[in-house]
Amino acid sequence: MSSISSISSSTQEFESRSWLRQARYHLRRNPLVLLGLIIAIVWIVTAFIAPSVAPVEPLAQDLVNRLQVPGALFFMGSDELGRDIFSRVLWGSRITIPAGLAVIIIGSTLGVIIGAVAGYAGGLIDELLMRLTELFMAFPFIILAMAVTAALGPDIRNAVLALSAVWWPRYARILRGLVLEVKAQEYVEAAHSAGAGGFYVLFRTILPNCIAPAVILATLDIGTAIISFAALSFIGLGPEPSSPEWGRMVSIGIDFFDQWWMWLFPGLAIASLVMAFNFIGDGLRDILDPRLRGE
Amino acid sequence: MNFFQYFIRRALLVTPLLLGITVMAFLIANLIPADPTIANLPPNALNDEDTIAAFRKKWGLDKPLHEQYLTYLGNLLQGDLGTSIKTRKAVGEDISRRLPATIELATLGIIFGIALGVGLGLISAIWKDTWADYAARVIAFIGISFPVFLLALIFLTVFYAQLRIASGPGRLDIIMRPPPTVTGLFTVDALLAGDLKTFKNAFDHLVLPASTLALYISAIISRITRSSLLEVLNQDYMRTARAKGLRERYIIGFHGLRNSMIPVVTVIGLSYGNLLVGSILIESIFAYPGIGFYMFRASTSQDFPAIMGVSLLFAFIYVGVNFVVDILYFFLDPRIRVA
Repeated sequence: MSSISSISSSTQEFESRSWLRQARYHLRRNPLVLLGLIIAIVWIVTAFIAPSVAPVEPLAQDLVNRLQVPGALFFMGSDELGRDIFSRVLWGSRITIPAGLAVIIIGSTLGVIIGAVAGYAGGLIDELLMRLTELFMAFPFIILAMAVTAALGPDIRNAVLALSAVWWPRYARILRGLVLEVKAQEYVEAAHSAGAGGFYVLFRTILPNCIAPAVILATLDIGTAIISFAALSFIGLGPEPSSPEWGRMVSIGIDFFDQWWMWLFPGLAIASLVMAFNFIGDGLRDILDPRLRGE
Repeated sequence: MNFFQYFIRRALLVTPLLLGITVMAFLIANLIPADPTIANLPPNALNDEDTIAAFRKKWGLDKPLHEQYLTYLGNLLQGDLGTSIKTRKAVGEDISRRLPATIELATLGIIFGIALGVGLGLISAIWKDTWADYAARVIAFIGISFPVFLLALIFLTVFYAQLRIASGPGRLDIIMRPPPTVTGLFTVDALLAGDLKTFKNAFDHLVLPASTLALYISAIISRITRSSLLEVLNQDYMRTARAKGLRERYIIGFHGLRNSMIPVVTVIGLSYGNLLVGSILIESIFAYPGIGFYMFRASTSQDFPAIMGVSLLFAFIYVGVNFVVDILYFFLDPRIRVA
């Protein structure tokens, strides 16, 4: 007994070591993934420590020093109320990163469930759910999110809810196809004949076998979610104007066009974060699913 | 299948979609807000019993939901999208007055965008893994990762404020007068009036916002062109074409590009959604008086009827464009004619 367990533990060790080696190999071949990971980690750490590292409070006004050029006093300049742009950009990560991730998590979960149920149930339920999916896909999704946020009333939570509500259709579509494929496998039939209920079979037998593509899609999507959230709050359908949210800061900055630091730094914050997640997503897709590479 | 059959079949698929969109818009407008009356009327009108009663009667708000929808649909068919809270005018009227400006910008944007996207994709695929490929892909990556409003602000600063080689905000210089209205497209109207000076001025004002829009939508187009063309370049018929001794330019231009266009056309249809969203963000920065700017003003001032009107219009345009794309397949892909 002990010899068997020691063999299995050594295989495990071997597998985990080869996994590490593979990861190193891929990172060397895709240096951009590494760059993306570094930038993303820096931002996520920033989100956690912003309150203790930001020089001043994001809402602290200093009317004597309004619209200061970036320099010794204000690293990234100050805005029309003398608020420190640098502190605000740091604090902004605490809004944008959780918002983007929440959209992806809620949206993809919703899509996975809808798609899985449609594919597994088949018949009328499938037909109804898929028509609904097509309907949602017929709207340009950000426009739909704008309408929903406007109806709910603009704030951060509603913007996230609205984006999640329009985010699921692609996941539903992909999942449905995969579930249809897996449903026909013999092990599913085996599970059924062993007396497992439909719910159990769907969530314990079928879903684990088709979740990977949804995870890849979700990773690829984080950048889009962040940029969409920023777009919503840019047009005023997000946090209130004084919020240090990046998209909102850029839209306030339009009125101060010549004070370029007011819009450039929050804008670059969005761009760097989105780029980082795009690098990671692209690399992950290349590594996990070479067929999607298109070469 | 002949073209007529194909067309009818596609049209039959689109109709329920359009109806479905009106149902969705109706549900969003009537079920989500706590009280549609409050959402749709200006704050000061809420003290006025008569206005509220008139509003409720017009939209059938005292009737059951399905009758409300029919009332909504009836009003919609007459072009009635409600009254804007901010401008106090009919939303339909507001939109139709601003639509030509957006059509003008979007058309130029999509032309620039396709040219840039297909061009970059072509360069990328032909000179795969060279510096030209990397440069083209970096441009695409910027187009995807930079928020379009940031690109617009950077372009405006660099090319208008600093280098002074492009015209700035608006449709015309302030001192210019708009050409006599025929189509509402300033460039076309100016040409019709034979006024080259106005044409040049209007066109100059379009270049910068249209280029921003182009960079934004070209990112996806160039990626798809690259991968699609790379796949086609490996096909047997390409080798045959080379073996026949055809010129490389002809092989890529005729055999390669044409066969790689189907996914590209699909993506152009889909990126029309980006074009519409992009027009909101870009027009708001260039103070360009089209639908996008109207939407921006409406959302910053919570002008609910206007937001719903523009959303509905954009959804219809999006479905319309993708219908046209479906029709284009018929000409691009001979296999459909056989099926």
